Amino acid sequence: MNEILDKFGVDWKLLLAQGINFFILFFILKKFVYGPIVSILRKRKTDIEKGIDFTRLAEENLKNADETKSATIKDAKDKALSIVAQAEASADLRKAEMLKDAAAKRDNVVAEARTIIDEHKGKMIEGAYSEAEGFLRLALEKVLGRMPVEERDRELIKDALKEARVITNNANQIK
Amino acid sequence: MINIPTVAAEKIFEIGGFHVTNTLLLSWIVIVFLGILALCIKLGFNAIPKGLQNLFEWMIEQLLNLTEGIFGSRKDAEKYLPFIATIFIFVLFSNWFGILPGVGSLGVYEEHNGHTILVPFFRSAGSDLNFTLALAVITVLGVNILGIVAIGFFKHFGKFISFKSPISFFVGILELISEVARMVSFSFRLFGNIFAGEVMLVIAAFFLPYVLPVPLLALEIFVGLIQAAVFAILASVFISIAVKEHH
Repeated sequence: MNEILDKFGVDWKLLLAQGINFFILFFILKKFVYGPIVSILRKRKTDIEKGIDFTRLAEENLKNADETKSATIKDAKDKALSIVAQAEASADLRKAEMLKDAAAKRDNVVAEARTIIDEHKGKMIEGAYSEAEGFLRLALEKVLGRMPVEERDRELIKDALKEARVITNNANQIK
Repeated sequence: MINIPTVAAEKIFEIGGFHVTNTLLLSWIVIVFLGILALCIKLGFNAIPKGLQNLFEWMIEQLLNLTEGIFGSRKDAEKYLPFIATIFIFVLFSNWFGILPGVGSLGVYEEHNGHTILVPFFRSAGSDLNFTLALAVITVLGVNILGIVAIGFFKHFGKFISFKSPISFFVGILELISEVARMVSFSFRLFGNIFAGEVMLVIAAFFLPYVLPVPLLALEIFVGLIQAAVFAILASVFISIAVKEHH
């Protein structure tokens, strides 16, 4: 056995030296490399997991926000449409009222105008007949050559004008 | 003349009766290199990694993922990472330093048994059984110590010494033998691979210099990685078995 070990150059001092080498390296690497690297890898892993969780949460929030946004926009559109419809209905109602008022005013104005016109017309006709009476008297006076016209003639003229007025009125009604 | 490397590491100098071999010298260089690297990482450590820190973070993360797969939990993987990662890194860098230019080729010619042989100043630590055996012993002892810490002394050694039944007693004896066998397999697997690689490179360089060693050097880079990974994975598996209660 010793001969074999000698042949391979096995020496307990060298074995010990190599063992010590291993432990020196072990402590150097443990202190300077494994500790910091393992802790940073662990921290990085935790950070990445946190990041993934945050991303998932943010995506969910974004999705919720999108849904809320869509719902809000839909509500706003519905409300806007409703407001527009109400405004249209209100405007139509108002328009109808205004048209009705305008028509009523117009009718009043027309009626008043017609009354005034009729009054004026009556007055003018009365005036015309009064003047016609004077003209007729003067005409008769000139034709007959005597003055003043008697009461009887005056009554005749009045009757004649009355008949003329009835005929004119009938003629207007027929028109 | 072809200089086949010797099985035993060559002595380079002596410090107070302690012979320093070329493999031990390279081990020290590896430790100094890794120590400086670790210090650089520590000094330039940043929450946003860059450069060297990136590389080490990636390496540690890969080892953590690997050990997590073996242990079944991230917590256990982080707990045993320093031990497993140190094995991996030490073996890996020792293997890769062994194929650097000058390692195994720079040295002095000496007379041995009437033959002039080249004694290199540096040789891959893995080609020395002292290195591989020391790591194997540390690993097996470490596995048992971690097992005791995790499940208790009696429960742990209950799998080696059991009087419940003749079969369990026999299985216990086999377990005890397998612990020794693990040391042998751990040490000789690594030693065999790295030493064979060195011999192969020397022979290749002798027969077809500059050409044939190139693909073999690439192969040695791969072998160095694979052997480091095998050593670390086996250590992880043995630790994961040791720290769980057996029924």
